Amino acid sequence: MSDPLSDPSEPTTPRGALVVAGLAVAVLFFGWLAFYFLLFLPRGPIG
Amino acid sequence: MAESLPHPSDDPNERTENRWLMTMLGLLAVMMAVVVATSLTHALHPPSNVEVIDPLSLHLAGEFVESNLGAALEPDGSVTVRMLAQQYSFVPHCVTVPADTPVKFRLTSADVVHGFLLIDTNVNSMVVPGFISEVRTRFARPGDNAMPCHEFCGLGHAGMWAHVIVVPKDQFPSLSPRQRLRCAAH
Repeated sequence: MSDPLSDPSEPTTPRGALVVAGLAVAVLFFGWLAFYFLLFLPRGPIG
Repeated sequence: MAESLPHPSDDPNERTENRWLMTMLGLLAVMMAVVVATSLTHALHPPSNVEVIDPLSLHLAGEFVESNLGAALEPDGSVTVRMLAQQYSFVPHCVTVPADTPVKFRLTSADVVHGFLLIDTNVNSMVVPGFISEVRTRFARPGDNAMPCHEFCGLGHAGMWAHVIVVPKDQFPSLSPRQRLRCAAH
């Protein structure tokens, strides 16, 4: 596999960016689930 | 022109972006499904009461005269709390309600737009002059729940708090209407 820095014509998958973005989205997604099921629902319905 | 561009699937970056897009759409679909499923099973919906009232005659007649404010036990066992919001207090300042019982809050404003929320519940509503805000909830356990005004209503807004004191269910019927307005714990 050639070094993309020395060979700009060879596009590669930005794995580091994917890991950072994936971690950020995972934290948000599981945080949302935790707030929804552990805080919002136990506080009961309103209407 | 178009023939000279590479096919999207030939570009690894484009493939990655497409996969990322699909993943995000999938997560959004999961969140929407969770909201819809729990809304149906828990009967979740926003309060949608639209009821008008004349703010100029609240103190003269009708539901919000002073003698009718506070917590009232209904024939079906539920409790209705009636309060007036005004610069800069809720009237009455304290109300007592039973735990594990359906409680209906009915509030209106005598002057400007106010708001209220109840700690430990999902109750969070504006109180607009000319309208009655009605929100139903149920308190899981006894305690002293703060009820602040959360809509900036003037210079004294920060001091506009009420207290909802939740007592055990069996203790509530023995309290007189006057005792239900006490701020001290029962």
